[in-house]
Amino acid sequence: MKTEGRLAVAAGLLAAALMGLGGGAWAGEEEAAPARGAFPSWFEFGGDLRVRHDSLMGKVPTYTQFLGTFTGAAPNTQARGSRTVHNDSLLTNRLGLNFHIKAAESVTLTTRLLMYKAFGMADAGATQGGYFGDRTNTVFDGSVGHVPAGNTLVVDQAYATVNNLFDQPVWFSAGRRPSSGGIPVNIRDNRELSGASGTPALLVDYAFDGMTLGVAPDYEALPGLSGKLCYGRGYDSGYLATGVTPRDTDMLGLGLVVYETPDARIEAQYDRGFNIFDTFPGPNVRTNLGSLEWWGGNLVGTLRELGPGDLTGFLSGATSVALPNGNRYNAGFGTGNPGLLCDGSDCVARQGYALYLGGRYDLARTKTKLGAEFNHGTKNWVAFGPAADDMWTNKLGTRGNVYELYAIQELPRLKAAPKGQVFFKLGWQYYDFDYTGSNGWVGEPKKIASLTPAQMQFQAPVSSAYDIYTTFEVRF
Amino acid sequence: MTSKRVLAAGLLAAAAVFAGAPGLRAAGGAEKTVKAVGTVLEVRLPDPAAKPAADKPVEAVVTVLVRGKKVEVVVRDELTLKKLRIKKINVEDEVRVQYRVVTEDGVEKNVAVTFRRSAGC
Repeated sequence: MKTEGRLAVAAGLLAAALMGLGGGAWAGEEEAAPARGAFPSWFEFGGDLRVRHDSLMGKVPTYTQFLGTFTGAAPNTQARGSRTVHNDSLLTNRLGLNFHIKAAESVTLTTRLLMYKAFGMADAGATQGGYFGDRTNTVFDGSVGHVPAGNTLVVDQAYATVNNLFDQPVWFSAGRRPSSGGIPVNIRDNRELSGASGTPALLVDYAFDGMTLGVAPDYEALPGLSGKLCYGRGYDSGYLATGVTPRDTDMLGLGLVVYETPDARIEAQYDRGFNIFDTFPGPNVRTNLGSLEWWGGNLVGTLRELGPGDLTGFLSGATSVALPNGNRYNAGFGTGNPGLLCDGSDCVARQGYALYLGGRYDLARTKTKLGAEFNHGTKNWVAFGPAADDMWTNKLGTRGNVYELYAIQELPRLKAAPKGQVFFKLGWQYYDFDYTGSNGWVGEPKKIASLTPAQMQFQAPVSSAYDIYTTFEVRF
Repeated sequence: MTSKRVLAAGLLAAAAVFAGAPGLRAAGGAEKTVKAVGTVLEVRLPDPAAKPAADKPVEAVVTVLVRGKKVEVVVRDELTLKKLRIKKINVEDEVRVQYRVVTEDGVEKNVAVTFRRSAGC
């Protein structure tokens, strides 16, 4: 493990040790257990079920496909004409089961289990099209449970948290933590999300194993102020001889919620991924390509009783910086092998930008919610978001423009469960890709409009795509 | 910036936040303020239809279980009242409370200085 990895783990262990000291402050204060029945519930069970239908269509321009093999020194390729690819009817089913346990005063354990499958399929074949980096024939640790993969129930979250360390608003949490579906994508998902949990969705949407140390001081002028230091492991290289690559891939984040009230939220985050793998984390990783950095933030606000309903709007912005280390993904091209967002000898730091804005209007009387969103990513934009809830590819990782409109209709049923919720959703997404390789990090993105038929590609480029989807969701 | 420097800066920032934390205890803090961590058992909101008396503040009464004992805390600040109304703070949530013990109209009350859900996730 490299120095920074050891430092991060040491910081975590130090926090755990300090946590023990914090607990010591209560020594001698132990009181008789409250009478039976005086306890609030220590166990909370919840969940959700979503049945979704997607109608997908994409356009692929004329290009040359690299087949992954060579004859002598010449790569084997196949010329492919322009075509339309589609799946007119994709049905999926996602089940989530949540357990929240209060183990002791200020100590909780949270678990979320997920099953996500395509109708009629026990594997990921129906949705891993091979067009984008996050949907390329592989469901891996960062996306498992978040893309259709079969009828196995997998662990999406499993973590414990100790709050109120040192009798202060300080917490430590470790395990497989919530780092997917963050603000503001919860708005289109019709989910409440607040507080210090999660990560801004534009930067990170990835199921991470890691730990967090956070603090939420009480400043009257800045309600909801909190900061946290997060660590995550993206890949473990296993047993290796000294000096041999690949190294472990680690992630470090610093998050700051500057202001949060029920009607407003301002937050910023810095993340850095160290020793980025050359392919999906697993046995095929051969080397590390460098580091990736992200800076970004969210502004979210709600105007209540604006006409017949409430209007929620958001604006997210981010920049990513690719810092290649000179290593390449070995595709057999020698010095022409691709590196981190680069090809051939031109491997230098590259910066990309992304913008995400939108809003939702909630009609109080009919319980109808109408939303519109837009996002744009530049040529060198890289998101860390394979767990995003988009069928084609993570829309927030798109190098180009994405438009989305949706309508949610809640059923006005009396709640039987405390978090009971039933609704239908109808949505439309349109992707307009400017550059190849959206949601990929290997190789230099190429302008799609300038692609020549002879230009060899690792993956079929998609110039535009749409998805018309409907969902039926029950939560409890 | 090298990886080590970024990491060091992060750890330093976290340490700085921690170093400042003890000073935050005094937020809104008079000497007679009681601090407690507990679980919300009951929330009694003011009747939205009722017109409050001009000389009486709008308030909610929240029953909190603190180390096995029930404590009734009076909440008067607008932001917390709003959180209680829209259920951002709900029954069974763990909260961090600071309250002053005051006597009003001959009745002893625990009036919240701060009333927040426990941070963390």
